[in-house]
Amino acid sequence: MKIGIPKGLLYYKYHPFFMTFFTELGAETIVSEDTNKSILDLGVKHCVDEACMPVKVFHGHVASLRDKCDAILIPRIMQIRKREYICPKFCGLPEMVVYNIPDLPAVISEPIYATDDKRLYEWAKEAGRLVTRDRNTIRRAFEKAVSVQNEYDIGINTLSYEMKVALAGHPYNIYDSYSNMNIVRKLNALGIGIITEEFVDEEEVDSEVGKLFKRPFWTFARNTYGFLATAYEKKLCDGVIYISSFACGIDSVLIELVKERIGDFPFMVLKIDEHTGEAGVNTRIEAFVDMLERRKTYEDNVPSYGQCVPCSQGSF
Amino acid sequence: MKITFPHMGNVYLAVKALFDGLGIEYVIPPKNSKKTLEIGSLHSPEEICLPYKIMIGNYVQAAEMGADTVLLTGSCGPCRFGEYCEMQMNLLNKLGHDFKFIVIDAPGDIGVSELFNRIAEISTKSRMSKHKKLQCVKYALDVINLTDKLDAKAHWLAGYERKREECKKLLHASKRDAARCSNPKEMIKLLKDYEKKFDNVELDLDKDPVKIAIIGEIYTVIEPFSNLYIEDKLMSYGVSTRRELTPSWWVKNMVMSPTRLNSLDLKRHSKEYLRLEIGGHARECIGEAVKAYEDGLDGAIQIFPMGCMPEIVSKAILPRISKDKNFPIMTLVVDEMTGEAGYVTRIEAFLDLLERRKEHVLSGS
Amino acid sequence: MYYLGVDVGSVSTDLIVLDERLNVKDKIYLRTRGRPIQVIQEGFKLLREKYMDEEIHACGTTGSGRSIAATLIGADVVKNEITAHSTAALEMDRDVQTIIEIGGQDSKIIVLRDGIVVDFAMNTVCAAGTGSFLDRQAERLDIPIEEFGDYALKATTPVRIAGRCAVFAESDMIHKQQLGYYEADIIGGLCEALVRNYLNNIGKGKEILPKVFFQGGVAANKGIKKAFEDALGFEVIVPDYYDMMGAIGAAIIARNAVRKTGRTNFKGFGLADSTFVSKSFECAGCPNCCEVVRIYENEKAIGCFGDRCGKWNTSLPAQTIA
Repeated sequence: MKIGIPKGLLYYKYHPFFMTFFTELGAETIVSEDTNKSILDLGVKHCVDEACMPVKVFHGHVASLRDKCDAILIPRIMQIRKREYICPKFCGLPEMVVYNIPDLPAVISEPIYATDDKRLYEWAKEAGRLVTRDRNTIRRAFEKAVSVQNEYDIGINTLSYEMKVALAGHPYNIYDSYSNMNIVRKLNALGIGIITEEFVDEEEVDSEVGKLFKRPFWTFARNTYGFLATAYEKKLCDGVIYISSFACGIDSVLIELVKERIGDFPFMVLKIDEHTGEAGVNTRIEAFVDMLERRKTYEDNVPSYGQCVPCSQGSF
Repeated sequence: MKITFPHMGNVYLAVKALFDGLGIEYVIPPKNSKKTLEIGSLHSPEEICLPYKIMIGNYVQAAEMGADTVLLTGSCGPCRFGEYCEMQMNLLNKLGHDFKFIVIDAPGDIGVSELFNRIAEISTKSRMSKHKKLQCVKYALDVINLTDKLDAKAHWLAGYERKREECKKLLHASKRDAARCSNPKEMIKLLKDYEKKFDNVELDLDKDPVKIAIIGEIYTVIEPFSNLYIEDKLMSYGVSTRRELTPSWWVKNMVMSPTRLNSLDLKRHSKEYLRLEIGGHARECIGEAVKAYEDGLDGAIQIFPMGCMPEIVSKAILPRISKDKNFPIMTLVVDEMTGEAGYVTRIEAFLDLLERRKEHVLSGS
Repeated sequence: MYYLGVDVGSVSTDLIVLDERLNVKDKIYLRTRGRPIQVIQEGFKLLREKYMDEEIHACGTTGSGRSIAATLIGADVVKNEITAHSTAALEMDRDVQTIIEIGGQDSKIIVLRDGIVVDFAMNTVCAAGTGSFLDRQAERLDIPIEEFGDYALKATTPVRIAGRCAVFAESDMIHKQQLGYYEADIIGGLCEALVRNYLNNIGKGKEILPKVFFQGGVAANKGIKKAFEDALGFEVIVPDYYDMMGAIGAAIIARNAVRKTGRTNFKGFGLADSTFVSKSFECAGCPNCCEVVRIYENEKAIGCFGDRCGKWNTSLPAQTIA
């Protein structure tokens, strides 16, 4: 039995779990290639036009695995934290994929509620049945997978640079370097370090989120909002770059909330979609870094009670 | 305290009946118009969905008329509507409107006592006895049920009427007159009278009009301004339309949802294509499409605002339903840029398509 | 006995005269330039040299200016472009299964099976890939639009151009020019990009089966035709009157309508001499504040446009379906 695992969406965060689980069950796994032009083209071809780029990219990954495996994993992630959701498109992802890409092999699309191990195990029982009938094997594979996942650290916090930006956005926009056009490397090359949301404490996130009138019901929104508010308050960074997929519903709300919270702190939104030109991205990043540098020099030269340098806000 | 609320179809009539009954001051924002949307688009973030923009326009226009409190229903995702209150409060504050927001959220999220506190903020403004207050709520529910019923009648009978646009004219007159009533009882009586008038519309039952289901995102299907008055247009063309999502459906669905007995038939119909709740009304949309087919309608039109997350999922599924069942479904995406010319062309062409299919089947060729 | 069809589009206005056996007797192509009334008058001046009013037995209008044109000429039918285009194509060939139509500002796909329309789509947001956009690029590159297609055919290795949005496609082209790519390869790349964009956007999920008719003004562009053929893997047919299909369709539909009603509403070519004045005002009836345009022919009001509720819009011929 060969299980195809598409390298898209939350793969970047949860691949240790899925890989370990299926390997331990005794199945062979195949992961699609890193996102590239032909995967993106496949995705654009099969996916509804209105969807965001990450969903299109995911379609591309599935399509690229079509003839290479016996079953494809399409994680239908319903919940990661209690009383929170991801995005409607994640909940309906298997339907979007199955009804639009012809001739797919079997798909593993049981809903995933990752709020606790017990509920997650419900998924494992269903998904594991495809590979083995042995309950014990499934149980063991599941436990191993959970422990491997728990040990997995993702996140970037570069210490060796003088200046740092908080890099925010949904995990797949941060870690899929094709989609974000290698932003991490580009920033480093300009002498800028990076911190991501994994490096702030859960308690601080909770306390920041608690100050809102309405508790955000998207896990992405909670994490990002809490991260940026903390990073701003604790001066963990000199500015914020927010990578956002064009037409992302969650981001359209979140960006407003973040702007409201951090006031005139340097903040740039990089919108990406399948048509984004690299030249434009480079220009924006360079200009933003220039601005941070000027600001820093200026701040160093004025008394601490001095006024903030006015800087442009929002998307450039 | 002067309460206002965003427009959504006929809801304003029910709210009017409620506050008239309770004797609480309120402001009905001017009907949605280009101006409302202009105001809304000017102040709203660009990528937010259309309902948000129109609602901001409603608040600003209501503020000009003296409103200081906004009554809004909430939801807890995963669709964006649930986040509206927080963003709208911030935005209106920045615009210099000191609005108080009363958000009626689901008790599951804010707790039952908080919900009662919020409701009390409104109800304590009325000096009536508890019994009388409940009576007023009942009136409001009657109004919403009646107006939805009139809508449904007019939309369906328009396909059979002998005199062109008679149903449309009657429906518009009923709303115009209802808005002039000064107390809920009067309004209910008036609406009931109109209901009878619909029974007197001269029909040609030998006609076999094109029958269409209007499906999609709840705000854009209910609020005529947001969908460029599609139901009015279809009434003028002599087409029968049906729409399951109405304010009264919403109320019923919300009240029933804790029991999981809500909208059972839509759930059943959606089972084959989308078996889980994914947020918004995507599942209902799928269920309605299948149901429309099974009920022998000729086609369906899906409407949703640009970028609507749940409806993008249903849009991805609908072509399969259309193919499996040989049932035409057209999707219309609306936003503030929607050009009327292209929109009308699409609707007309879709009607032609349905008409031709009908002839084709009849002639057996 | 002749049938008249008028297609008032955003870019061009086409008039066509068909004879009894639906052969094209005359075709007139005029630039609309935002003045549909004058353009129709201009066309009528040419036509009345050859035809008598009584010879016109049916007339129909289509295109985005179809309502205004219908009021003016007394049309028997007012039809949307999709139905008009498919009617004309089916008249020429019953076996057409797909119509690709790219006009001045919009593009469409129409799927037909067994001679009836079963599905269609139109471009929603952006005008990239339509005639106006190509005109603009040709102008920018200083190449006559007529030769644009020939340039594309000379391309050896077409350059990849981002084609979804007109603005970005243009900046991408400029960028590629600055990098020094060969002009023909850029034009070839543009054609490919537009076709890719068309197939991914309008054509998404549509089963494109031969025979495919390619019509609308852009069908004159050999580069685009070839790019379609490369992408689809079979021949794409450009019909003889590819740029007149809307008007032809309107004329045919009008003929069918008059067969039922028995008489035409055609007002005659005399309107070429009439004086038309349009006056606009803002209706104060409701908060929609519709801008209503009222048209006067020799000081007599003949029609109103632009009101949502239909209060002013009384003199329009009934828009019945089919």
